[in-house]
Amino acid sequence: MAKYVLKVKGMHCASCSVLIDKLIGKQEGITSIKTSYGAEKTSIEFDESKISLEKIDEFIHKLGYDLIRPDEASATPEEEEAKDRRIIKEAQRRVIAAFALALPIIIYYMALHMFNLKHVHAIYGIDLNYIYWVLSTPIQFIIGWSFYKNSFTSIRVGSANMDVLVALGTSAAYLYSTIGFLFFNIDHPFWESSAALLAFILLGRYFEAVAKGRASSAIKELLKLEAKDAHVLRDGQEILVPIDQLKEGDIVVVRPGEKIPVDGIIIEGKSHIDEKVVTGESYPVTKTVGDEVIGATINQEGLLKFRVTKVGKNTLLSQIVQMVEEAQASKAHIQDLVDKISEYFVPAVVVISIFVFVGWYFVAGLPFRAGLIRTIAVLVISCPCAMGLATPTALMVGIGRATKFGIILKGGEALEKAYQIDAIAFDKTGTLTIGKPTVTEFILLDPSVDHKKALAVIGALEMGSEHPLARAIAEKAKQELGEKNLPKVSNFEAVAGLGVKGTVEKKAAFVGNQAFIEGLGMKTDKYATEVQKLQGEAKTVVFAAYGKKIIAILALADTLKPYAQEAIRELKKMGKEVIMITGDNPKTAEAISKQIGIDRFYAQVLPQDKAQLIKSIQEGKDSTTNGVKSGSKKVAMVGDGINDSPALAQSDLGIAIGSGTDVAIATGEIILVKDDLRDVVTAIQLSGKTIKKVWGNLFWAFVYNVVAIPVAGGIHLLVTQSSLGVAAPWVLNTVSAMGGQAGQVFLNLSQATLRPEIAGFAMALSSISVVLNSLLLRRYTPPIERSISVVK
Amino acid sequence: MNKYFILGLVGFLIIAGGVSYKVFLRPASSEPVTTGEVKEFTVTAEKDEWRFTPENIEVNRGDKIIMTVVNEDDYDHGIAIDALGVSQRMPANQTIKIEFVTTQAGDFPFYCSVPCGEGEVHGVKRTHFDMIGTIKVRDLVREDKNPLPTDTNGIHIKGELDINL
Repeated sequence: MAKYVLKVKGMHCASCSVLIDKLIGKQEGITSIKTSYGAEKTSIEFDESKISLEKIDEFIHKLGYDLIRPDEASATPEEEEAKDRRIIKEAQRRVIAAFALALPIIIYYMALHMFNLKHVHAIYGIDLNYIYWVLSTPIQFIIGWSFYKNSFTSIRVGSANMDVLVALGTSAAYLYSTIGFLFFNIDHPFWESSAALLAFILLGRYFEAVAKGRASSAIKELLKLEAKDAHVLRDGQEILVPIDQLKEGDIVVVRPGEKIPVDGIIIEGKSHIDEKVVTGESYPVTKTVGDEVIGATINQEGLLKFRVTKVGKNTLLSQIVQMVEEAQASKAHIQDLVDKISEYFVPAVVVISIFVFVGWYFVAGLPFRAGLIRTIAVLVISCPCAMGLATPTALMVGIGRATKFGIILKGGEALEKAYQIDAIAFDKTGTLTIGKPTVTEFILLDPSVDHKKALAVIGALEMGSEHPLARAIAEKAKQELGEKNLPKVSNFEAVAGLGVKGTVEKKAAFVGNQAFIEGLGMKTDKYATEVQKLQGEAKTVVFAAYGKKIIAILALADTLKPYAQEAIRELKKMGKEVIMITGDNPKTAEAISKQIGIDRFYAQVLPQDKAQLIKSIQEGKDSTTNGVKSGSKKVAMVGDGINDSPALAQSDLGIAIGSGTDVAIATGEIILVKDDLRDVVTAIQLSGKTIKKVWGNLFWAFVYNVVAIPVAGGIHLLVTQSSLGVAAPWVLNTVSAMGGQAGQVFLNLSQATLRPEIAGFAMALSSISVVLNSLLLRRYTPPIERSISVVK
Repeated sequence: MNKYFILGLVGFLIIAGGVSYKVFLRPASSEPVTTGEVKEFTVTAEKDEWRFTPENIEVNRGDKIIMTVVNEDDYDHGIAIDALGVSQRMPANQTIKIEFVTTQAGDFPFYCSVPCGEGEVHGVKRTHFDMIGTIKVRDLVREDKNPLPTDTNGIHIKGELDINL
């Protein structure tokens, strides 16, 4: 069995991925294949004894796509970015070209219909229709060729997306106009329908391309983290080699400030290592001989020598890259709402149009052409250009609105699915909490030393230490007293693993853990209850002694971020399940979750296991359900570290904290710039609003179709006419009841059918209504924001 | 099953249903009638009148109508009769000839299908939307109670689309 996650080039619509899965999945030896159009990746599992990767490549190539095999050079991040830019640029060029050609036609016909102008079909003896024909042909077949291409792919996989509808409707309009004009002298070719329709839909596609962020950037960020080369000891000599030449067992030297190139075990030296990028742990970890080091982390102080244990694909970083890739490739691309509707709408339209033709020609016995015109009218009307704008315009406005609140959306897709989330998993450190210890309790024990004095002594002493707890205490002293007011410390000494000591104002001062103080001969027994209580709250307890007497107990803990509680409360009110996932110990996890109001948490989860945990929650198979499947769930993940990245990619909606690591930010689909967890609530609410707007738009785009299709097909005549050309009695009664002009209008309307050219004109109006409707979203202010401004 | 296969099947069934209705079920009164009788009319859109003259035409079911349509205006008009599949352009200052067979009885409006503006005619405002006339097709067949043999092919496009500019 072999498993690969590979890049696929040349997919131009969501149906392409379905086509690949369907046809390649049929080949012998393929166990599973999952292709993602959004990520441009395919995840294949196959039996190597039955089929080779080359063979698979060949099949995919035959379908018109290009599989990038591992042995083929893949594009660099820069090339990828350039490609994304090119795609947007191309979409833009298409829109400009389409509008340049279509505008004269649109303006002419709009003015004509709106102001009922006299139709001058010829200028200087040249029939204007020839000009329109020349203008609209390239729009139909060159600029708009992608619609034919996409609908062909769609038809091949047996689905009907919006492109099928577009191709069908515009072709009907174009062909009717062209053939009618060239050969049958029809009264009213309607070039503007197909030209305007395509131009508007291409505009929608351009918006889409702009709004669509690429998830693949995550990988680029990860690979940027890797050190480029390493100092290796070979034959006693230190040489610089690129990291891909490193082998297991090599001895690597890392100087202070350098990146650790790959994973290994320290054989010499001691240092603090900043592992934030990988583990999310916010303070440097002390490591010495025998400890493992992780590639891409930063050596802060000492000179280290370590033996390489993992290189290339086996390093933790590469594994995380692989996990992110796999999660992204297997993620289903959310189907466009419009495509979903089209799945039913297209067959319905085709059936109705056949029905209309059969009705008029075979059943009513009217001439062939009478049936044909109405059939074409149905096809043309069924293709609303507003539909192509419904989703992108709402998403564009929604994304813009979100940015105003400090929520960056990588793409419209995030906005489309955020409201569906059932459960939200939060990473603890750095996400729910600040990720740095702060002093939560400061208990004075000696009446002769007041708060100011105690803090001054302790703060002054701790200034000398690099330990994160010491820094937190020094920070508090600096904040309350000012750095200048701290006394001088002499004879400073740090005792590793215990605490610090020194002389302040001629008296010995000590700050450290319980063991440190006990070791100095001071009894801590009488404070046992306090200590226990604090430790029960997962706080770190520090003692301070001054002049041979214990003067204070300090408790330190990682504190919650501001508004974290409010955000969780709001999410619970919205009926979302809130889960905490942390690598920390259960005690700390419990304390934090209690404090914040989360009833479900997972502690001691290894970075590698986070994604798996998210997956099991998604599938409803996690431990809390006691093996009972609780049904699948849509799970969002909020995190900040590299270790969260696979989970962010695996979740249905990855939300990264703006102050987090680059990789998390690159992997997340939503980024909270303000570092305010209430924005999670805002994002979900805004998503709901936007989706409502999309539905509203689709309503405006469709309501006209639903009304117009029967009228175009003349189906309403079954009700309004008693026999052919004779108004039904109820119509005549209504007419006489209404009387006068109004009655006449009603009579005319009830007896007429909608002509295709009028329908084509009405389409533009529905487009405008959709755009205006979307712009209304700009007035949205999230309730949380509103309550803040009221408080202010 | 492939959606398009089902779609094709449904389409085929509808058409088959339509054809069998035509062949086996369609009442004789609904069959298209062609008597072979030819009637000629001239319909004129008089200069800046926004009116077809004459506005009312009466014919018999089954008549072949040869209509000479004159456009006296400097701008385009169109003539359309939805039920009979007529939809022709009347280029400025030109005369066209259209032919069709009134195979079914009823009152069929013929109207201008090309926006042609508006204006004041003898103090009354007239517009493009006022250019409506009616062809009344009398059902001699039904009145006779003696239906003429009908063309079972039922297709009469031949001749309808012949246009002489």
